[in-house]
Amino acid sequence: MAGEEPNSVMARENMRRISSEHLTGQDACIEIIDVFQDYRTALEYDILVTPALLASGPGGEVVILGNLRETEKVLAALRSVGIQPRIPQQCH
Amino acid sequence: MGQAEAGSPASPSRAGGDSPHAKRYTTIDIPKEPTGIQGLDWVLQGGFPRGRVTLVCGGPGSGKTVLGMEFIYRGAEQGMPGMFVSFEEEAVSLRRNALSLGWDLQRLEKQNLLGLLDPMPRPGSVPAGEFSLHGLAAILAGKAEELGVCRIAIDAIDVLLRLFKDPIQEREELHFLHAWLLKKGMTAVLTVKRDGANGTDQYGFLDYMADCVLMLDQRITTQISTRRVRVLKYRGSGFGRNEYPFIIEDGGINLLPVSEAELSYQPMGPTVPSGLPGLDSILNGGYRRNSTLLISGAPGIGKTTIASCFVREACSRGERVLYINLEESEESMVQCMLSPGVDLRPALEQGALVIRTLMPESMGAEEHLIRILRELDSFGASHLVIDAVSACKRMGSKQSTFEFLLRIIYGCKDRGVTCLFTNQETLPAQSMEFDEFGILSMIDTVLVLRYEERDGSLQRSILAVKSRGNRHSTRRHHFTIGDQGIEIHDAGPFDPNRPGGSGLGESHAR
Repeated sequence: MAGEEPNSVMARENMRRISSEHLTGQDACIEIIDVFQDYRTALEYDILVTPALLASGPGGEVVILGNLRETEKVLAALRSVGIQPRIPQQCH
Repeated sequence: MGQAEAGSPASPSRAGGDSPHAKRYTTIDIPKEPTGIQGLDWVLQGGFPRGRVTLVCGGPGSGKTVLGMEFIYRGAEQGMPGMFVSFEEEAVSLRRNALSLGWDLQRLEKQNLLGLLDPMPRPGSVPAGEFSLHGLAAILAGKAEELGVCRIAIDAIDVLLRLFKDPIQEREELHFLHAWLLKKGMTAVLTVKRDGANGTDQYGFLDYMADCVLMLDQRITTQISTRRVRVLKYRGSGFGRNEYPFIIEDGGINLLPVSEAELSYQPMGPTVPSGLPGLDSILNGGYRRNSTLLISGAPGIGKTTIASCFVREACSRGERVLYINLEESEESMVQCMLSPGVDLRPALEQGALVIRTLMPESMGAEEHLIRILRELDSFGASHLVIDAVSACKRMGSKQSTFEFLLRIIYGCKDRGVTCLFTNQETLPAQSMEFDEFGILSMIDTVLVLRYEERDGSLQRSILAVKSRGNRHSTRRHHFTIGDQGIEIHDAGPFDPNRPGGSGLGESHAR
């Protein structure tokens, strides 16, 4: 995250939404790092753009860039490293 | 050779001290950061614009990374902390490459004068929404503050921009970065891969953003590769307008702008003997220090022999001579000179004489020039001999040969070095037309050697066509080459009591 920069704020909200809708019941740990507070971690992970989500799952790691507006892409990326999102039942 | 000019308007004088010619530049309003790169600060009239962005473009292998790195390195050496950020190469490899140029980056890193960052944009990142370069900004800010950095070089910014698929966003991100750099007051150098010749103007907008733009170029002309740099733009400052050849050698980048040396000639010095008494008579005492001489003639007539006599004489006075031979090896030349009785071995053994054999085709004229001048300086020679300048045309184009000779002459006059050229004439010499390089006007003394048929036999003659600063004999004098050397006939002994005999005689305007 980059402080209160708009994309980062949006990303935080989207992350909250996605995790509550799709990741409940999973052992997921979400760590938020503000690059402006901690640049060393950013450097360590080669985080050049923000917001960026580094997801590690059983199948490996993937970096998802952006404010996470495009939910489908996020879920697909998570799937690619073995994190299976739960699709909420649509009630008609 | 020159030293890093620290912060003051660059003076073209290499002889040190304030040159009156520095004032011919328009007042420099904007503050500049000297690059410390040999010759570049002169072209930029001081250095890069302080607190602003300079763009360095060029194709692959043109030297952009080295330039950016040298800027930071030189600054760090002077105690100004700097940061080098590469999106293309890892820090380990950067350090190793720097070492090959003789730069010890690790030492400066340990002293906290240099920061090397190699954040690589991760391949395979999935975009899912808008993002921006704040991460980079944070890293740079963090590291910059830690070191107290005021200079930054960002290498291969085009690699970073590839993250952004949308050209409009690329521009926005770059504006963001630019604004951030300005806010922090950093003097920044950005390098970008760009093929100038094809003009892929994908990054054309970068030109508008930067205050100063340099274009590096590596091209092959007549089968020899040369590097050139050109200042495309420099907002708020004058700059050298030409293309300047440069080389990358041990120690870094080295430019040599033509006009640099012309303004600070050292005047011709006192007359010294040439080692050939007959020639001293012809030239009214000998030749003058700091002057340029040319000996021209057909093959085998005695040019190298005369040059060797000069050399032997100068070395016997305790002076040092650098002899550049473009035609034969040292052993061969020394051996050959034994037969007319000129023994160069003592001078070689004492270290007063250094003979260098050069293959003109081995590198471009600019590289030859820089290497010769560098050796002149490190050896501390007072005389330079080039045998034969006619072979120089194999260095590349006629233009580059002309410039090479011109700059050798300037370089010698600037340093107070006496310069002797020999010129091999290939055509039967019927006329005086041997100035195929057009440098005759720059040469002070011209001696022409001819074969003549006389009384049924072939005889040699020498004629002083001109000798600036000396009254000289205008007659042809016959000479012979025997076991004891060259003997010039009917020249008469040199008489110091003759009117004007001290060699100050007729001085020509110079």
